[in-house]
Amino acid sequence: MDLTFAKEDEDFRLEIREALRGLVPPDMARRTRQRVHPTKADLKLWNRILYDRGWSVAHWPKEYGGTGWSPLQVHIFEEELAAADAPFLTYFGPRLVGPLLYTFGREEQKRDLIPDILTGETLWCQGFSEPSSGSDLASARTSAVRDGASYVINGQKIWTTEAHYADRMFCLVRTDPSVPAQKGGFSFVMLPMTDPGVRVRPIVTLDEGHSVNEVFLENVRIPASDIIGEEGRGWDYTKFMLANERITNAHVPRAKRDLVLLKEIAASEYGASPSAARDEARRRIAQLEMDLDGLEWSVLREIINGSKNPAIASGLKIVASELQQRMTDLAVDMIGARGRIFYGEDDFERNDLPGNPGEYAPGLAARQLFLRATTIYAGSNEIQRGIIAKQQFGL
Amino acid sequence: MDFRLSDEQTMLKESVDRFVAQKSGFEQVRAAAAGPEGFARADWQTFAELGWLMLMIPEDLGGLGGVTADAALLAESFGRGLVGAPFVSTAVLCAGLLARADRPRDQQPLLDAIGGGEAIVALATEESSSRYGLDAIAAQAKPVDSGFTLSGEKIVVPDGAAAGHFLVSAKLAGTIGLFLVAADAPGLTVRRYRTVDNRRAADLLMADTPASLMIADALAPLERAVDEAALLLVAEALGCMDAAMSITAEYLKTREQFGRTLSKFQVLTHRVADMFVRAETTRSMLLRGLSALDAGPEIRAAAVSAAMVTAIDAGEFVCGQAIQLHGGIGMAEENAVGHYYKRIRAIGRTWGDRASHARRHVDLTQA
Ligand SMILES: Cc1cc2nc3c(=O)[nH]c(=O)nc-3n(C[C@H](O)[C@H](O)[C@H](O)COP(=O)(O)OP(=O)(O)OC[C@H]3O[C@@H](n4cnc5c(N)ncnc54)[C@H](O)[C@@H]3O)c2cc1C
Repeated sequence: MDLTFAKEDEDFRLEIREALRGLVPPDMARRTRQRVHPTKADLKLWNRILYDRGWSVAHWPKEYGGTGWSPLQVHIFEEELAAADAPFLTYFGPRLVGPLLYTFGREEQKRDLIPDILTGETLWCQGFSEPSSGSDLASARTSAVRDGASYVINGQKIWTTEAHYADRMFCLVRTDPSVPAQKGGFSFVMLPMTDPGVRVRPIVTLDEGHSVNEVFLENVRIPASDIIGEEGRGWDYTKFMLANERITNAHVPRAKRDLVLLKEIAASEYGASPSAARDEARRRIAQLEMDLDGLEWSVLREIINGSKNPAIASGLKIVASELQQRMTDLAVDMIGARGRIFYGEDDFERNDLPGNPGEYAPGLAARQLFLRATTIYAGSNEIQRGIIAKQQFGL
Repeated sequence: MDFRLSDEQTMLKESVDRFVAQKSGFEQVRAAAAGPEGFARADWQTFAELGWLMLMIPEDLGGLGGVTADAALLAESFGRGLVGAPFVSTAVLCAGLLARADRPRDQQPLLDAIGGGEAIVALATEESSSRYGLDAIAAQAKPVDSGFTLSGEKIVVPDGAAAGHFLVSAKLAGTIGLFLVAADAPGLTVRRYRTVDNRRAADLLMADTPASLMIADALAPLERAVDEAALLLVAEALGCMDAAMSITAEYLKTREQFGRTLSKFQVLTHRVADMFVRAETTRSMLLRGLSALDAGPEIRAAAVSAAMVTAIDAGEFVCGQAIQLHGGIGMAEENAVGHYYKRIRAIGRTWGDRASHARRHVDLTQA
């Protein structure tokens, strides 16, 4: 066992910090702090900036465009990105479909699709959930029917994040209705969002933001070669992606940045001299910091010497999602009555904002509201608890 | 002790429940909330016709002389129906303060206008760094020939956007005075905006704004009135919880996953059971608070803070879990449960928050 950070890793951190200095345009940094839903322009631009340095998919193997850094170095890199208020790159290409493609994709798919994920030229969205199939994903009904050299897709997806930004969707479909999902009934296809059979309808969430959508698929015809990997392996691929999602969704780097911001908010709201209100805020921050330390070390254990234990991944998802919620709960609590004000994302640029808030206040209440979703998406926390009971204890 | 409603209270409850049942389908609520004032003036007129706006005005000033427990019946039902009208702030809080003015008879015209539904009045106490402290303010009153002028700012005035008048706290020679300011007074800038619960608030910027003195030594009456209003927020929160709970239970009976209704998953039914227990405790704390309203100021304040802390925690749990148990659909703006949650969030930072109430309780109950 070696429980120290190596000198090279510390040096690496300083190098990265130096390299990132001034790289995030200040207005982009402010948007990252204030907005819970990144703009498409920021996602694209930041992807490009990272790509130019060879860093847009730092966590990937080198042969596909990654950096070849150690998992700890990738973690350090992501921490430094978050500390610089860089937008978190779109999830779906770099985190989900990219690894799926280089792990299971056919050679020509790797060749044709991966370059545009690296640059951010193609944005993807994830078509898993359907109106009657959320937690019970295996009951999904969207179908892809073979017709000569094509598949014809019909069905409906829902809660599709960034469908309105995306050029392509990777879509879980039933290719063989006669067998269950787990036994080869599902496949993954990719489809162009510009197809006339694709209709995207926005869903406004309770924070009044727009990141999720309904996607209606009506006779969308794709070439048979646009099935990802092999037909019938959709369920294996789903499990592969969800396992990745649970760990990266811990978002430790962003949480560490948020902790710093919480301390800044506390200093600004409560000043430097002791008071009961200040003491209480500081105690709550300390509790969050301890909990975040625990989460971080759990994540480090998993990314450095992966246990591959699904119960561990599910546990990380539970801890991280609840921690993210508690952090924004506290942020809103600290801004007092201003926490009641609705600041629309389009208002942030104005300088006569209601309540004369500090720079940090606009966006917090909306963020707090949107983060109610962290315990629902990527497998609800109830489902994760079920997985732990089953996988760890056979219950 | 007798916890049953009187005959009059039963009638009042029936009438408000009927109003809410008719008027507050979720679509209607959203339409009203989308209007410029966040509520429908037509509903406000109905309130006046039903006598609700004079309920809390004393009989000798032409009102019905109701008690806070009566108003709580209305507030609870408004919570259930997400009714956004400024009942608590105008018809209870400001009407109550005007009735306790140093010269209440002078306020008769304004009280009549409140009772008749013509006047909306909002209380402006919060400032940039007052953190709910009614005495922690900087706004200043200055005596002039014609009366007083006020200078300073107030922020996030509840229901401030529709108000024709404000009751404004300001420092006056070593005390806190309470002043009446017209919304169109010279030297007053009103910035109106939306709050997370889709209501409307306002910031006031006052520069030598003419004002008339209502209460010269206002801190104690203000604390009493705001405590009463806080209890009505507890009642409203209870209505929100009740509605969110029943919508959720209904959803569990109909939504299917894994080939059965969600109601077959015990973790979810137990969650609803916990929601119920928390809501019932809130009801007990509301009644306990009501019983202490006319006790000494310290007993009253501790009981109100205890009720608020209970309601804020319970509301966060009940309405937050209502979203959780709905899954994705609970996150949609089109779904009612999120709106109950947002109202709870707003209630929990109106005239005090969990932390300020918990601290006040400590200060009042521990050496
Ligand atoms: C903001 C947001 C973004 C999303 N982004 C995407 C996306 O990009 N792509 C995509 O495909 N999907 C996305 N989703 C969908 C998300 O994965 C689903 O919402 C989630 O899987 C839950 O499904 P559901 O909404 O149908 O809820 P349901 O499955 O109906 O669940 C309702 C409630 O029942 C509980 N429950 C269900 N089954 C059980 C059980 N067996 N035991 C105990 N409790 C149970 C759940 O925990 C929940 O509390 C997103 C969702 C949100 C809110």
